Amino acid sequence: MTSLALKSFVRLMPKQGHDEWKGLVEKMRRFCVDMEYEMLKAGHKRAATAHIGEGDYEKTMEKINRDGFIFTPIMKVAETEGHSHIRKKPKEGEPFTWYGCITKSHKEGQDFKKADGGASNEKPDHKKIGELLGYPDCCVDYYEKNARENYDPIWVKKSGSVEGYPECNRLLRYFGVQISSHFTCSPKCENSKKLGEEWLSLARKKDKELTEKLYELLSTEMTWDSYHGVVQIETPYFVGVADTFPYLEKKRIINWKSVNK
Amino acid sequence: MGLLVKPYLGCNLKCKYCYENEVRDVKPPEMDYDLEALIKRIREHKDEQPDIGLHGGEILMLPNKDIEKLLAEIYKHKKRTTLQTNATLIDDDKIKLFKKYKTNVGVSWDGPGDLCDFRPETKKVGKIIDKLISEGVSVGMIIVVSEANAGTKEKREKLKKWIYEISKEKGIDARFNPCYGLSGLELHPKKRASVYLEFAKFCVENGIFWSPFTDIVRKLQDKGAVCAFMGCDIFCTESAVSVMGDGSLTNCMRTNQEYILLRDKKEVKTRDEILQHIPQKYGGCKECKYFHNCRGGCPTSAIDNDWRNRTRWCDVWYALFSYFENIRKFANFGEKKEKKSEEKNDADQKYGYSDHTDEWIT
Repeated sequence: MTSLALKSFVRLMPKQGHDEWKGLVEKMRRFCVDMEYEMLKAGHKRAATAHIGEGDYEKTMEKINRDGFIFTPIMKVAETEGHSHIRKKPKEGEPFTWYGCITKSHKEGQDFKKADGGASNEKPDHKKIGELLGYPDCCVDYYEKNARENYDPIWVKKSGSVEGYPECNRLLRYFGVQISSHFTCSPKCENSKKLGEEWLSLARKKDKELTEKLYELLSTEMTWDSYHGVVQIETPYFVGVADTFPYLEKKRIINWKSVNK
Repeated sequence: MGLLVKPYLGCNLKCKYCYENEVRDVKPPEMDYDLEALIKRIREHKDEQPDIGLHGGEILMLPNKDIEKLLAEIYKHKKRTTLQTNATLIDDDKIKLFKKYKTNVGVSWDGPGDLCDFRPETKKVGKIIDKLISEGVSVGMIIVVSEANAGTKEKREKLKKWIYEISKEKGIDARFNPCYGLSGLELHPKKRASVYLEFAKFCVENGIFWSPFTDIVRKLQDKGAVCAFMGCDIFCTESAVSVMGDGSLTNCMRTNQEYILLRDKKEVKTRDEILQHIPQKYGGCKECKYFHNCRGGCPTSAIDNDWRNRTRWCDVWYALFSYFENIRKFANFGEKKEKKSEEKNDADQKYGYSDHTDEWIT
């Protein structure tokens, strides 16, 4: 692995005539964050991760407690522009959020905290974390096997034309647009698809129109192109870029096509 | 650097190497610009942009009344105007407009006769330039260096003769822009560095202060220079903000190919960050002594057309930076010696140290 480590960044530029997509993607991102919590509430998982900032601490905690959950803080994380692959400790005086987990019981919260280990833990217990977050075993195994070598392990053996289920599509994860919140082991992972269907069913109840748009976006043909530490994703509506694991010698390109379309 | 107002991407010519051909092929341009939206953008950017220029496609395809509206708006804010044209549509009425609005007319032309073979139907441009000059209109030029005008020794001699004529006899300021990316049109990789060095030497010897050579010297002095060495972020180009016919903002048009991407609000120097760390054998600039001068070159000329690589023209820029750095070393050597001994004057004579170089290298 190279030492090239770019500052975290996420950028999204609409194509001419598609100006609305910048706002729409942001709306989808917030919706997907909320859906993590909704999946927890609906009992599809035993824990959900959360970043709680100073500004919304009171409101968020009240909501969590009202719903009968607790928040277990794990570590302070420096704020970044958009997504970040690595949780960075804030410097003195730097803005931060509390990263932690939301669970039903204190024990589950502590189990998660122990498995995660915060910033100091070099060997997180992915199996335990995956179990609490409700991730399929096959995907937890896949992550455990690949994440040490590639911190952005999107179907690491795949390139070129890739067909898969929209429920498994993680190519827009940098912008927070996803049905599966875990690294799916394959673009056609049946366990992730099943979990995704539950997610979709719940999401449609919350906001049918937005859910359909999100599903449509994840179904559309797109190109994911990773090179020199920057991933560039092109959809018919916009181009997005973000920092990623650096492929130095040869770029890796995934031409996504949905099998459900 | 500047706001480029591009109401219409269509053109009356079909230049083989035009970087807007791909956009035009995908979506044939229509004369459907929104004049009010364009004027609104000019007003929004009048303070932050030092220059506001009219561009195309071919800007002079617009009706004169619309050209005048745009020129008048720019003139109101800048007290001068500028536009870039292939010059073929210039007539007396347009010259009147140029004089009224103090327009600097940037002409794109690659030279007379067969030198402009990649720009069909432009043979008459030489006469139009003469007319503009005789009318007192300020003229600048962009000369695209390609196989058509610099591919053979004979063509280069012809080009040099013409360069001397327009620079020394007509007082025109110009720049050499590389023809990028089209096989058979772009100078062959094996000869382009030596061709550019040949032109650099010609300009030095004749006191012709044209870009990119002047820009290379400026970059060696840590001064600002032409866009090719700005380290542009392709999603928010420092070199240019382009306004399209519908008023939407995009970047330098070289960054747009099959589609037009809207401009990001914030500039991010990701390419600078990447190139400094990526070894040269993988398309980066790691340990290149000219990186801070060249910044990997124009991202739209990058290896494999991927902005995450350095420019394919690295060999050319490296050769030119080395050449001018050596001249600079000689100049400095001379200056130090001058203080110590009068004998230095003899040495300068011996090495042909000229007043011309002294003027702009120190």
